[in-house]
Formats: sequence, structure tokens, C-alpha cells
Amino acid sequence: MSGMWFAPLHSGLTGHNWLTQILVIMLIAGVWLFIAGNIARRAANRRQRSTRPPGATHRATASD
Amino acid sequence: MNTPGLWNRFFAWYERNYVLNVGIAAFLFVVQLVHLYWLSTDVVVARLTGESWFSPSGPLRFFILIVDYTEIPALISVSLIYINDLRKGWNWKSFIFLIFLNTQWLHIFWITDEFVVQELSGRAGIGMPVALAWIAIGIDYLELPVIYDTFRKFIVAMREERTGTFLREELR
Repeated sequence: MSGMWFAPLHSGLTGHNWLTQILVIMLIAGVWLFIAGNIARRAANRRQRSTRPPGATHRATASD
Repeated sequence: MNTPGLWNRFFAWYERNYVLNVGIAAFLFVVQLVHLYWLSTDVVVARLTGESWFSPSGPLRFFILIVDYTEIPALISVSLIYINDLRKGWNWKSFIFLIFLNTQWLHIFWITDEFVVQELSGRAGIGMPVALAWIAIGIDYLELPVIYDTFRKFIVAMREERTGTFLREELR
């Protein structure tokens, strides 16, 4: 039996470029974290709104 | 670095964003059906009938190639779902699905599609037995039950989230 037993190429169409693979992973991770961050921010805003007394439209300051 | 602390913090974050995490994993994994379609209709059918039913070219070929690049992120993200399940309590289904998923690495790094295409099309191969090509195809199809289960988990998680939001926001 001859030939290569280990071929780090996945695609049957054009082979695999590992730099592109790393970029795709980073892109997906970036989009994922961006969406998760936005959801967390909106949830925090919602929580903050729901703890304010009814009718309050802004935070109380020293000048109030 | 405190590894158990990092592990727990990561999965606490994972649970807080469960719907999003399962949603992204399900999306990436469902997209792999495109790859399985290409594998079945181009490679397998060409071997069985002598004629391919699907020979992608141009933008379609490029699209399938992009899908190929999303397989590793899909495997990692879906593995996290089942690792999270096993973390909460042992169950055979999650364990077996985790095995199904991670045998794909064998296919990605060793008995690759490139080898499968060469062997099944009768072109000069790289010296491995043809049976290995069929094993690689079998490994690829192991994704199917996991794709179904991941998608089902996403639907269930979304429904529960919607009910939770309704109870929290509307019935206060």
C-alpha cells in the first residue's frame, strides 16, 4: 500500500485552505459574541427600566 | 488559571444565552445538509449509476465550498450543546451524538472528501482501500440524526424562552 495516509484536506471540490478556515471561525465567533453582547445589553436595559418607579422618566440627580 | 472556574463561568454564560447558542449551532449544522446533498448526488450517485446528478460550477460551487468551511465551527458549536447536556447529567443519547459528531474529525483530517472523490470516481487514488471511502461517507451521514436533534432542541428552547418571556413580562 502506498500513498499518503494523512491528508489535511477536507473539501472534495478544491481542497482546504487553513488560513480561510481560521478567518471563517473568527468571523462566526465575532458575529456570535456581538449578538450575545447585544442581547445581554438589552436585557440589562429592560431590567433597569422595570426597577424604576412608575412615571419616572429619568434617573434622579442632585439637581432634582 | 482556575480551570474549573473558567469552565463553570463559560457554561453559566452558555446557559444564559442558550437559545442563541443552540440557534447558531442549529443553523451552522443545518447548512451542512448542502454538503451532504453534494456528496450524495455528485459523488455517491456517480459511483452507483455512472452518472452524476449534480455537478456544481460557478457560484454554486463556491457556495458549497463556503459551506465546507463552516463544518468545523458547526462541529464545535454542536458539541458544546451535548457537552452542556452531559455536564447537567449523564445520558446515553448525548454521549452517542457526541461520538457521532466527533468521528467527523476523522473524515476532516484523514479519510477526506478529496480522497472519497478520487477513489469513487476511479481516478488514481492515494493508496487507501476503497472501503475507507464508504466509511467516510457513512461518517458524514452520522450527522443526520444529530442535525435533526439539534434543530428540535432549538425549537423547544425557543418555545420555552417565549413562554418564559410571556410569564415574566405579561403576567407580572
